[in-house]
Amino acid sequence: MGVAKSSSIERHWNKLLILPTMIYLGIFAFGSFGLVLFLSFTNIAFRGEISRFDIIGVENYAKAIMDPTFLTALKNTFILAGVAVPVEMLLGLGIALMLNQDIKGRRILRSLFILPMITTPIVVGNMWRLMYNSEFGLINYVLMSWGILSKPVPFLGLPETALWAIILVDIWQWTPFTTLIILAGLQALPTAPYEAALVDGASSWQIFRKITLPMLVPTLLIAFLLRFMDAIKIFDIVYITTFGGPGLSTEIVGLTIYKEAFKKLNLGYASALTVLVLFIVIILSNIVLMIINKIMRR
Amino acid sequence: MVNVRIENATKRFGKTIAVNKLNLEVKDGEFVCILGPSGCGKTTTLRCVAGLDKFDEGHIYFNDEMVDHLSPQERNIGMVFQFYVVYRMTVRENLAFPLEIKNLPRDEINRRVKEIAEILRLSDLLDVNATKLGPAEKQRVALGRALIKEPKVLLLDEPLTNLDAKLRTEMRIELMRLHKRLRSTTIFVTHDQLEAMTLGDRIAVMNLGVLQQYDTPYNLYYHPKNLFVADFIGSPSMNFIECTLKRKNGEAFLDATDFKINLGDLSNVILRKASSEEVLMGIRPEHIVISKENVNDAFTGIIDFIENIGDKNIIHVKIGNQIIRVLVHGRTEFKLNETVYIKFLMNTFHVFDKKTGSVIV
Amino acid sequence: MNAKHLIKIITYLGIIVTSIFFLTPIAYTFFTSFKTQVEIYQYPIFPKDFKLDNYFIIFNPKLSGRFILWNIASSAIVSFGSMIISIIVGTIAAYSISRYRTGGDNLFFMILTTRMAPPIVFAVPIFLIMKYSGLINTYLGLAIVYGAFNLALVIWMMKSFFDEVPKDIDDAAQIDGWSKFHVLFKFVLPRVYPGLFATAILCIIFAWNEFLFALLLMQSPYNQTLPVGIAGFYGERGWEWGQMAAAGLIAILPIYIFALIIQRHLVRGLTMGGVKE
Repeated sequence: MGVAKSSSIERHWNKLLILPTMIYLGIFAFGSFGLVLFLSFTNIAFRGEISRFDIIGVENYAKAIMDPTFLTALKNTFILAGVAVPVEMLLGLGIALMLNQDIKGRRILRSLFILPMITTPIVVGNMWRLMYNSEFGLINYVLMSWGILSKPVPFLGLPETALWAIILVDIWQWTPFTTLIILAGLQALPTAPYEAALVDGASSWQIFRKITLPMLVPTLLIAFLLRFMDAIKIFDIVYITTFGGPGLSTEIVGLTIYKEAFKKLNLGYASALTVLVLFIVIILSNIVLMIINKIMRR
Repeated sequence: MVNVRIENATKRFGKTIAVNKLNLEVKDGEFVCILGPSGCGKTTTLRCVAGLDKFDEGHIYFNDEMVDHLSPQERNIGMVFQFYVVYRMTVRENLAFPLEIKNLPRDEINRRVKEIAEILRLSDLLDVNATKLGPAEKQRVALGRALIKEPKVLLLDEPLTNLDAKLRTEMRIELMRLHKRLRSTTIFVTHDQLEAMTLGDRIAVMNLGVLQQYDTPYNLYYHPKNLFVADFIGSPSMNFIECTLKRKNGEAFLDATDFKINLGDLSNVILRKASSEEVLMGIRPEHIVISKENVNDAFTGIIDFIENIGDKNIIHVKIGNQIIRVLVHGRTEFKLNETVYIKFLMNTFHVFDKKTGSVIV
Repeated sequence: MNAKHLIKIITYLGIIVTSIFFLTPIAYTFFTSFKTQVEIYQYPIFPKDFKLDNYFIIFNPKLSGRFILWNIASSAIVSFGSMIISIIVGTIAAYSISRYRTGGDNLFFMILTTRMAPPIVFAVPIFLIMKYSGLINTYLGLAIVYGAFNLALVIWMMKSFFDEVPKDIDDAAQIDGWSKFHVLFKFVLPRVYPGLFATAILCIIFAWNEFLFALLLMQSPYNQTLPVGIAGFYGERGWEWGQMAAAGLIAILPIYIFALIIQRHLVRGLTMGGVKE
């Protein structure tokens, strides 16, 4: 029997267990953030080694809020999140409702639906590059066969269409996410009000609108919050498909920061951008959380 | 108002037969209870009548029209569930819900809501959120919602089971009053035999999917058709004594080892109907007389235990190896281990065939 | 009955349409991987035949200019290594939080937020840290980074698995005289092996799929991970779409297999917080 040898270990066992995590996250999460914060007030640049390093206060921030590239990136990012996420919610709701019924092969379908989410994002990007290709891509081929297009369109190459093409990819990749969350929420709903409504004479649509939907609101809100926060982080897909182009039409914040830091090597400025983005994300999520709490209280 | 008929209905869940060739008819305006222990098939039957489930075999008729293929919405029924289902709306909106579905004119809706609220004493609660009410009030709302559309059939699935004792009695009276007033064809499912006996015009007793007896409360009590019904109905439950049917001098009597019971006039009937000599005699505790003085033909026993239930006592009398329970009203002067004499009231006992369980007398 | 039938029809139709939508890019890539450069233009959808030429080419650095085999090895080492790190560190932390509510809700929430922050936030500092600790361009370095990222996931998942084991087990073992160390490793941990396995697989999946930090921290073509290797499939030797498709499929195949194995627990991990199970 392993009788407690050192009572000190026994006493502090729970803290001991969490110590490695604290150290680990301390360095990599909070330490990193501290470092970024610090660097944002410098003009550090890095070419194989630190080539300059001066503390320049809020100069980076002043530059950032006037930076057209950064502002465009912010705009694009929010357009993307603002369009993709609601669509993903609606589609997710629709598909979840369909999957919630008694259909054969439901389990297989559920397994199938997670594929887009777990596919390596770089590969997803490449898949859609193939699809969108203007010379042989499937989408152009189909649209032309059906007579909708007379000439192939280079979706990823035109500033008017590029962002929307990316939005479609995001929808493809992440609708399963909202679907699964909403589906789980649906399955957790009690059946009694549903049956009572049936007996009361309500049609399926009326039941959905007046019974199911109100009960689903908490789930929907959570799905929305999670997905919105994630959508802002988009990077891999854009990197491999358009790299921000053509022009700045698909420049999203992740990419801007990356380019500043590792292509233009302005680590200090990139840090400032990073902090700004984080700041915006935090404020946004708090606002959304406040709204959620208000709705939940009702 | 509607006559409901279930014909040869069977429902299986995997290998278990939940409902076995059920034949049941509920007459127009009748209040019928389906009574039985858990798993006897009563809730399944009710749900099939509602259209929430389907029988594998057999049919359901409303006024001789088959309704099997109709969805719950189309059957025009009202249903109250065990767990007081109310919507997350005000009481008024709950009550109005079925009418709004049908797009009735606003005045009509308001009128009916007001009427139902008055009948169910909900008028003061109309604008309260239904989920905030207590269980009995919620159940009243559910009841109101079921009745407001003046359904052909009213179905109740153990609606009082989850209420505490006092509320239960109140709601029982409420239901009885409602039924007298509205005269809707009602099917009430419960496992509480007292409830069924007080409420039902007729009671369908079920066990393991099979209908045991479908009769008035009086008949179920005084003329049970088999062991199960005899045992299930009546509180405290019936005493059962194993006996052997024997003959002596042209008359039959029951030999219960520790005592004998003469069958007298019934001898011929019993002898004819009994399939074997092993029988069970049943007698209700309230049909036994107990006294400290010895009287003719009384059986002698010793008091083994006294159960006190409020203003009544159940006295367990030990005769030989048998224990017979006797119901006594009022305060008891009996004490443990006292010797007492018990006698069965005339013509109140039943004889059951031990193997088949059916009644002989 | 009409309404009910209509709904059923719409449902089946909808499911078919959505299935087609979600499977098409994958299927299309699959078919493309069997076409030569010329055939890609000739055969818009299905390949002429299923030859494996592209697959062979990509494994040969002289032909493709890519070091796919090394990339796979690299991805495997880093994924597996980081999984070990995050599983070990995270599981014991999860136990601590589950049983002792260590740090209360605040600590747990803070840990979760590390997962919510955009990875780009850590790009610059981690790059510098790795560079100056000499861990840049090493398997260990990247594994440590991935370990940190997956830590919150492991803690989240394992906490929920630990929560499902009744505390009575711990109490009984302690009363019997076992040290807390034994309580955890001898009694409780065996009960969560399935969950542990699923979490491990999930860590591997996330590490395998990661791109940004692999891009930043691994610079030599020999130890770049697979996503980075695949990303280099244009520019250098022309637009070899068929090979790009083949490489993509090679990359996702292990993931799909893993996902199939841990299907049941996948939802819990992927939706992390969105689903109450």
